[in-house]
Amino acid sequence: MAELRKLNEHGRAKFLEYISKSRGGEMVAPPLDILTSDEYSEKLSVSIDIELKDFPDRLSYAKYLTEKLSVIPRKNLVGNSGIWDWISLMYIQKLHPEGSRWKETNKYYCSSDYSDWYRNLTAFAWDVYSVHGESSRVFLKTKMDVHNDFSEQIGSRQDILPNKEFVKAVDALYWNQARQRQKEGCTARDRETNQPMPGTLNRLTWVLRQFSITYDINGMSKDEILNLLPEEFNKWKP
Amino acid sequence: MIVKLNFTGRERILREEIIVAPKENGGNIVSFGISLDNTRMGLAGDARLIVEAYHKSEFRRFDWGTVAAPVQPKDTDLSGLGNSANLKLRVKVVNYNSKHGCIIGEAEGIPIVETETDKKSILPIYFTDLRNQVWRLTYNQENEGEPVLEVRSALKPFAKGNPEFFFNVYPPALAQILWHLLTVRKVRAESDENADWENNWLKFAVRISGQNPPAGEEDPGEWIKDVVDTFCGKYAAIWEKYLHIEQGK
Repeated sequence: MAELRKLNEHGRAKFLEYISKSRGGEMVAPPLDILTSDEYSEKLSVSIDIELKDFPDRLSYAKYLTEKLSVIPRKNLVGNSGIWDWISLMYIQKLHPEGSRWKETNKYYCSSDYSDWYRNLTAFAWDVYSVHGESSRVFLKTKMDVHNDFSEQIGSRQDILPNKEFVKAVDALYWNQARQRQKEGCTARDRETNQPMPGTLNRLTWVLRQFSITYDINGMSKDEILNLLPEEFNKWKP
Repeated sequence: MIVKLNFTGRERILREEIIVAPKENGGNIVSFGISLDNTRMGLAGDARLIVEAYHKSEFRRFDWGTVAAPVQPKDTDLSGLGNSANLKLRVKVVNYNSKHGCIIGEAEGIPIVETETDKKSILPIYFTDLRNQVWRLTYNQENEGEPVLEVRSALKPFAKGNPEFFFNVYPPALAQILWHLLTVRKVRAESDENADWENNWLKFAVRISGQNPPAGEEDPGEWIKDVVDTFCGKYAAIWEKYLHIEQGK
């Protein structure tokens, strides 16, 4: 267990250096000492203990973080790269399991470039869970180190990501309640043309983009959004 | 080519038709008022006026009554949202007489606090963490693909008014934006159907070069070169003075 801090500029540079070297194939140990070092990190004004736990998936990780960080106002967490990098470093061996391939830097290192925010395995998990609660399972019911198609397709659409009713509609369409996982084939593409198959997630984001020009999607309930969708989505509807 | 269809006859609400009155506390925007001038558009009085405050994943939505009888919501508190300084407003006029609420008027990307940059610049600058890059252009999909200049945060104190920065960044940025505008977005003339930024950039470039861009599918390369060259020429005296000072050091 450790008290949550925030990496300062030097700490973030050190973390980034570690990620870059590791991605470059060097065998380097994570600089865990900087988590408690005053030279590389700062105390927060509140005291929060973070445990290094084994989570079965990102959803549980997100729930844990949301609960732990609930005493900090959301506005102080959004875009606060120092806090997210501190947590990512603490959890680095879970976010990058031994023997697995290193993914892009932004999966671990939280850039303050907002266009990369949704790709961060830690910050985005907290963000989407803290806004959408259980409906975020389509994004987060994955292994700790996986950024799935839902995160990529919807996380990048920051005009629709905050829409709770839209995310509920996505959950209703593509969540398999019985198997507690995303429905089979919901992100499938045609093998020959590589175009998304009818009614799949990619089609949904495309269709919604078109509809949002005409309709006030943000003012619709989950059921109204589902009713608006064309026939190709029928097989996915609950 | 990006095709914009407008089956519902929705109106583009002009920036000057919206007045925003921010309320600040200790330098933070805590709430705001808004009013819409419907004189030009004549939108249905019973249509709902909807205001959305947003920046990236931060979002709040307010029902502002109707066009004819706007009612300020009791709570327009924005203090809980992150990045309050960067929040923008989206104003929608929605007709709920149809099966689904149809948007009949819309404006996006309205700053709550209008800075000098908002008033004068057609190229918003965001200082951000670009890792190894010094600057880059992005196209803001939340604001109809408007170009945004992103610059490495560390350069913030250095960039403003610095001739070296100006001449290294702005001419290639100008060229990239015009190429994007003319060849990707296929905008070659001002039109009501264009996004505001597209018309503004086109106007800006035509004013510099004194000539309209080539029409149709004609290669705009030479025209863009001419615009950029004339643009640099306008500021040549500043560059000369800067070199003079640097050489004298």
